[in-house]
Amino acid sequence: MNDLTTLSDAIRAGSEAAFEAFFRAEFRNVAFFVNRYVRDEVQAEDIAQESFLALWKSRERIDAQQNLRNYVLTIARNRALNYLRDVVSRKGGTLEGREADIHARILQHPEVEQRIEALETEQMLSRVFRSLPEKAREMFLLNREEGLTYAEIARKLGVSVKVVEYNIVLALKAFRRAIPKVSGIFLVFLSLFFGNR
Amino acid sequence: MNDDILIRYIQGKLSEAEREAVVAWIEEDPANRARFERLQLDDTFSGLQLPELSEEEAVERLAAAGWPGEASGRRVAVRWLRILTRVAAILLIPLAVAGALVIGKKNAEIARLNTAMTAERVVPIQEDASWLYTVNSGVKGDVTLPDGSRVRLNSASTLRCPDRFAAESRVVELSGEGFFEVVGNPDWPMYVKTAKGVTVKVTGTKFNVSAYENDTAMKLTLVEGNVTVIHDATDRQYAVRPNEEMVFYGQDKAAPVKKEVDVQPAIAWKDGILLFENMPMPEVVKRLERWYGVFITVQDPSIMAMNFTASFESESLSQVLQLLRITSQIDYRIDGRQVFLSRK
Repeated sequence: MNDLTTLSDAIRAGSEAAFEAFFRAEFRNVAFFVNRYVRDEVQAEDIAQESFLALWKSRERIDAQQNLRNYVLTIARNRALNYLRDVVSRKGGTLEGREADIHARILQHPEVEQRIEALETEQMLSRVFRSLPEKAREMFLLNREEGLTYAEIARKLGVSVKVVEYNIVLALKAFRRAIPKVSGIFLVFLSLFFGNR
Repeated sequence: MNDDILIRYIQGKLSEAEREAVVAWIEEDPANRARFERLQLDDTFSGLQLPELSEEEAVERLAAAGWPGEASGRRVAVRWLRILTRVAAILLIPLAVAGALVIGKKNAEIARLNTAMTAERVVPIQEDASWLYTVNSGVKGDVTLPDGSRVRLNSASTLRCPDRFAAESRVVELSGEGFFEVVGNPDWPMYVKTAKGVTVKVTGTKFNVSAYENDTAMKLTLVEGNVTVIHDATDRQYAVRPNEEMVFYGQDKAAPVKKEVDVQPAIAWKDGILLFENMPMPEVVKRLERWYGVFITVQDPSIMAMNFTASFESESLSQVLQLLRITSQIDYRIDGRQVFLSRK
């Protein structure tokens, strides 16, 4: 499904090189994420490192379908939450304690997990988009972003309406087929938000 | 408080005095908190960098998707992606990751629940720290309990369970609907407490419990094994046998209705089948809302008096609504996550 799947296989098999590659690619992201809640760079980096270590230690139990980044971010989230709880209980009432409480509440929000999952799809959709032919990308953006009709795009680019329609329909198909897990609902999704104008 | 200051706070750019002011503002009003939380999440997640795409992979993916000709991997603006992902977070993602479970942690709520009960109850009290599994509308999720028992949770359901079960009993709390496959052990009963004032006691079995807080009835359907249903307020116990269904209407009426049924319709949801058998519209509306994660507004009250029979496997919401339009006097309009039903 994505470039981390093979990495995930290698890491599960115990490849330190694969783990290092994954660590290098994702460490800054994880530390950034943790720091947004913990609000202490040194602590955030510690928690991020511990999270990677925890992933490495439990590598044999990683599910092949599991996206590694989602996995490490989820570990990091739980660890950041534990850390914040500790700050709240030690420093409740102080500015630091109150801030820790505010951020611990956000981390417990179901949306955090959803957004972590969303990163994977976002990554995939952006790949598909970036690999469309330039003309199709342009037409797609004019249609979805600028809200131009097929006829308006055709006039603007000096092509026929059929050509515009063909490109946009194929772009939609590319998105749809890139997401095999999502069935009919994705069609609704596309038609709701990207429906013909 | 304007967004600029909040964003600067989120990015750690404020002095201590300014932070104090922001924190006080957040604590002052739940609406402020909600606005801050939204900004915080948006800013944090848009700050996470996506790894770059490899060229072959893009070409491969496109070829698989049937795109003709050469693919070019050049980068262009992906502004639309932001819109897409915002929507995706609410609609697409919960569907794409059907097993997406949100795991909460130790919760003060359980302590409150426990103190509200006396120690002589038939149903044991779970003192331990608990995990909260939440499944949003439009999704289903699987949970494996600490003893290896499995639960499939239907849309808009939560299940609370401890890190480890106590030696004498296994206690979980369900709100919503779940299909349970409980690992057998006659000396170690499992209690499934529901928000409907009814607890199910089992020692190893397969059964379905539907106990949504916004439903009037609590329904238990037994596939295999034996279960005892306990009415919490009276401690009255009822035995249920395989292929039987027991329904409690409302919390006060202790007397449940028991009948022999075909269990398949009650558990079809766990295999992704959405089934309506001559179902009253108020029930259909609730199920569609949970199943597709939408909000339905019924604009003509006479619609609520109708019944609907249909079975869907992987149909989209608009396909379901189209069928409704063809077979009845109902018309529909979809606007984002809102659905409006009216008379034709």
